[in-house]
Amino acid sequence: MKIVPVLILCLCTLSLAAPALAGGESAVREVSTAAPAPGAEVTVTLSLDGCQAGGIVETLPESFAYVKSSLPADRVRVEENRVCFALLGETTVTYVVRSPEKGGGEITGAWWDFGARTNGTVAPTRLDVGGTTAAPGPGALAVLFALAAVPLIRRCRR
Amino acid sequence: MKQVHLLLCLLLALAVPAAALVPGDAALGQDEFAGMVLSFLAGGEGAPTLAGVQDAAALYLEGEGAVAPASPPARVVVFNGETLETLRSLGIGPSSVVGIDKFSAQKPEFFPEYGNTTVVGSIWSPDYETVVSLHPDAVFLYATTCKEICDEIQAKLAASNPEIRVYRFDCFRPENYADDVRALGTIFGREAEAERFAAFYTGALDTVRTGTTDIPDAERTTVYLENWRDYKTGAAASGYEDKIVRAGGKNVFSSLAAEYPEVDPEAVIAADPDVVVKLIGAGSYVSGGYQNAGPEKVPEIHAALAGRPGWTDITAVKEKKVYLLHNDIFGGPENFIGIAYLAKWSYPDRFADLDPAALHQTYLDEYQHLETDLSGMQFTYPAV
Repeated sequence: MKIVPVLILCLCTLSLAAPALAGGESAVREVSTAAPAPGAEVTVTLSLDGCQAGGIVETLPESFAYVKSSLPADRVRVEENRVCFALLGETTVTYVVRSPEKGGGEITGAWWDFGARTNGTVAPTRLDVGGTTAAPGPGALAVLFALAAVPLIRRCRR
Repeated sequence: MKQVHLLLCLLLALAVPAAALVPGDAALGQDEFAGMVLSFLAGGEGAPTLAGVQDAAALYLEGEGAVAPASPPARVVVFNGETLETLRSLGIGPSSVVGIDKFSAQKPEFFPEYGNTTVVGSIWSPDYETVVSLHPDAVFLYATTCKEICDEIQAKLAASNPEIRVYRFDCFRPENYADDVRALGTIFGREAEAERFAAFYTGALDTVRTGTTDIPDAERTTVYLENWRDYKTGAAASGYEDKIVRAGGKNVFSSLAAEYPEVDPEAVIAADPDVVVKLIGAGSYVSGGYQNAGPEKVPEIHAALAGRPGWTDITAVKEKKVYLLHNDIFGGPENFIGIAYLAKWSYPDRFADLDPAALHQTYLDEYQHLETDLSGMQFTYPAV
């Protein structure tokens, strides 16, 4: 009987770790909010570890506007809804976009590490103006599972 | 207070060498490289190629030793035979290459030194367990061929061991082969060998190019190139056309929409090419080449080709300019040999002194270090 709660805990732990284990991506994107208010600024952080000479192209949802970034102006090029960053030693780039009055869409991206001769894509990030934050991911589900497992564990220990 | 001063002095002393470690203040400036990267990322007309940016990155990162280059990989797994062959031209062999793809393993005549090397499957069916068990510090995959498949392999390798460096090279495209060679030389610390071999390769192509540049477009030899599938040819975007053009010729099926179309037999007759070239070495035409399989069949293949219904009226047939060319010297790193043959067949007067067979032998002797005697082997037919 004790195996059931142990199994549940293992599943929870695995589901928490899943995002880190999946895909083997080298570039990661994080946003300050996935549900910005109309006209609000969203801070986007890109991480590309171990890259000394690389680049990232971000494609913004149609109605979002690029505002600024942490890189000098001569290392950024904006063409319509595409923003190009030249990374010369930086492992993170932060940039800001302004949300429209309504609507949403996905930020998609691609990265290159020219020194290591590798490249890949950055997982898309959904932004919805005025919407609720994104549906709970596997981590949140795992917490719910874990909370649900507590009474079971207690019961088994009796 | 003295401690604060001491600390400041120490920080200043550390700051000077740290500044010297900032990459890119030498051969290729930071601004220049950043501009190149942005042009590549933005794309469009005039944008540099990926290979060009990668080479520039190597220069940028190694400018005046600003950043210590990664040490040459000592244990590598190679998933594409073209890169394996190119590495041999740089003097890199089984002492560094610990795993090879199954197709290279199936060519003991050409890769005899890898008889005891571990086979890691192919890009279509990679044996990840074996790759990881070999503890490689680098894995080589195609850059653009089967890109999605190679992307997936790269991602899985990164997930299993992020310390494995993955390098992507095609090593068969004439437009960037010399760049690939030089980049491999940089990776393995074989810059001198790479430069020598790149000069040999580009020298061969330049001989052909300079010998054909003054030919007016209307006077260029028209070529029908068919691969090992009957009536399968290449159009404007194909590698076949690129090589025909490099040899100074004109592809009779350049304007077709598909990259590698299958043409109607009547269309070949209507096109009336000056030269016909059929690639052998695969499909139903596995003859000749390094494997030297069924050499006696080569003349039969040629006779059947020239004797196709309705072909007696084709200029190439009438003037006995129908040739067989083995893909071993056309499709991979040895494309410069095939291009030299194409040029000689297309313009025998202009290239009377060009000896593609001698070029081939030099490549095998001096760069591949193979004791292969080409006499008696069938790479082309009929003999020039």
